[in-house]
Amino acid sequence: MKKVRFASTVIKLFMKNQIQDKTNIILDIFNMFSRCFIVFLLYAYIFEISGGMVNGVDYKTTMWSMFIYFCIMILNLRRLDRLIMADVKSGNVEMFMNKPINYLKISFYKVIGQGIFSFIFISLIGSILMILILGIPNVNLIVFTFTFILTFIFGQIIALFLYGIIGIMAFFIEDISPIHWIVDKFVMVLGGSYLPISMFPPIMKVIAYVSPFGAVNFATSTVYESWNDEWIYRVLLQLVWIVILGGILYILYNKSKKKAMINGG
Amino acid sequence: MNIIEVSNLKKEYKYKVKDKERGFLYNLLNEDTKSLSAVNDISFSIKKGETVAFIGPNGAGKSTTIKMLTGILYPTKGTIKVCGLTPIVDRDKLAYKIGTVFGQRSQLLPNLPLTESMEMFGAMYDMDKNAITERTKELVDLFELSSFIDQPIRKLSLGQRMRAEIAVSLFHKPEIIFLDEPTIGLDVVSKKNLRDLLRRINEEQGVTIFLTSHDTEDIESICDRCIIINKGNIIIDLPTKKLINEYVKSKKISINPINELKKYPDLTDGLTYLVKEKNHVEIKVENSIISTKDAMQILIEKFDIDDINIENESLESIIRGIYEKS
Repeated sequence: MKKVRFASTVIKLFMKNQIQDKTNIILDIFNMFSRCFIVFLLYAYIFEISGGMVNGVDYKTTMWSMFIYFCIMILNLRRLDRLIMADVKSGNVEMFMNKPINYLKISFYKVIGQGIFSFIFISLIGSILMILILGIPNVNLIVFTFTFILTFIFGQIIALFLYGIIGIMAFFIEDISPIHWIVDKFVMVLGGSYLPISMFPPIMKVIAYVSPFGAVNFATSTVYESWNDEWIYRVLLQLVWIVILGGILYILYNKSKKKAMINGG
Repeated sequence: MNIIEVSNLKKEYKYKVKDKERGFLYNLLNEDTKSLSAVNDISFSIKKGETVAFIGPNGAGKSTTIKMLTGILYPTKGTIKVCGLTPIVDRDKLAYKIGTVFGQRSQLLPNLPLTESMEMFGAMYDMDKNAITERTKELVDLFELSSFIDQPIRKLSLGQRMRAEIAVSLFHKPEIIFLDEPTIGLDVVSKKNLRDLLRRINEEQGVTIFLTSHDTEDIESICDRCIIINKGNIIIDLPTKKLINEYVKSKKISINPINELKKYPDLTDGLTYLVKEKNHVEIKVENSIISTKDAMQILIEKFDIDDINIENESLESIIRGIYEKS
């Protein structure tokens, strides 16, 4: 109970701290709507010249999938590794290492707190606009709601663990930017950032399904018809990745504490 | 009762070195390492309620020692007990008993008022809402924070922020507080306020103070004991007063003559002019050559004195002398 109270307090306070800077929220809104606008126009044309269907999926479903991806990007848990790297490089990590809390946990809460307001605000407004413009996605609402929440939460836990592992590497190699760049591009491509998953060739689809990079964004697949048959396997796969990545992160974090080196000590 | 016990503590850092004679590929595959000893086999203990200055020049090993005492860094060798706990093993338990302030870093939420940071600290230390409200009130009164309690942290002056940092670090009522250069960058008034406050915390609440600082005023006004470290070794561990008495090698005598001076009399060995003005001279007395008493007699003969003042060598110059000698 105390742990839950601490987590909610830290998330709430970092959210309040973040929203004091209105510019960030305005930029997030602009970023979201400009990306959606460009992508939606682009794919409207592609679907039009393809006769309204690509790989058996229609325009509305594809756009909902991409909208979900953009919403996840606004939550931006991907910044966790750079946040840890900044703490390690500046030595600020010491401010948390002598507190009765786990540095990783507080970093998780911090990154969630920083993104949650923009995520909720923009997702709500965006969803309303999507419904008004394109209509409700063609899904079984009960299955969709339940599995979406489940796969979204699991996906974000994987994201925290994955980017947490990269961040913790900063204790060993200091500059983790190249690793961040590689992993981040995998997450973006396999999550459907550049191309909707429905348009992936079969081999890419397999990679997206079985890799942790794709598992981060399984929520984007919840609007596809195939989801009804696949969701149980996908969620189980996410659980497997949570266990594997969580284990790696735990071991790495314990090793990293011994590696801590801070300027002036 | 000892609150800190350190024995044979050592910290070595390893770093990679390249063989300049060899090419890129050789250096890529064969990495040679060298080790640097930051803290070299030091031992000391501190009693509950003591105020200790842990001082030394840059790179002496002060911050490394503080970070090992607070469980941030792992020692290479040796044992540490703080409040009966081993910092790296009992890091979480120890966190409830210690407070830390690192002068160049902040633990506060920059865009929010101080009360919000206090709420976070309260939750961090398992305090319930009522306890948080009560402790916030106590600290606001003790540290006189009410005038800026509603302002975002980033809008505070450095002096106000340091007061806030120390208040927050005491939120969970620690037994000992580690301060790493707490007055760095502060103006003279803020420094004095902060020193008075730390003294009060020690006297009224019995909080042990372990402080590093390059400011000798901090040491003189807060700390009863000085541990001087250089090149990773403890070179002096003495009460501050004793340090001043034992290491004073010179005195400064200031003289205001009755009449304006037209020429400055020659001085004997062991006496040198520091300031030469018509209405004021300052003379350094080297006590290894001449006693203060003899120097006084000579000066009384040479000057028509209106006013005279004798001062000890400053702690700063004593410490500088110790660093140079070591």
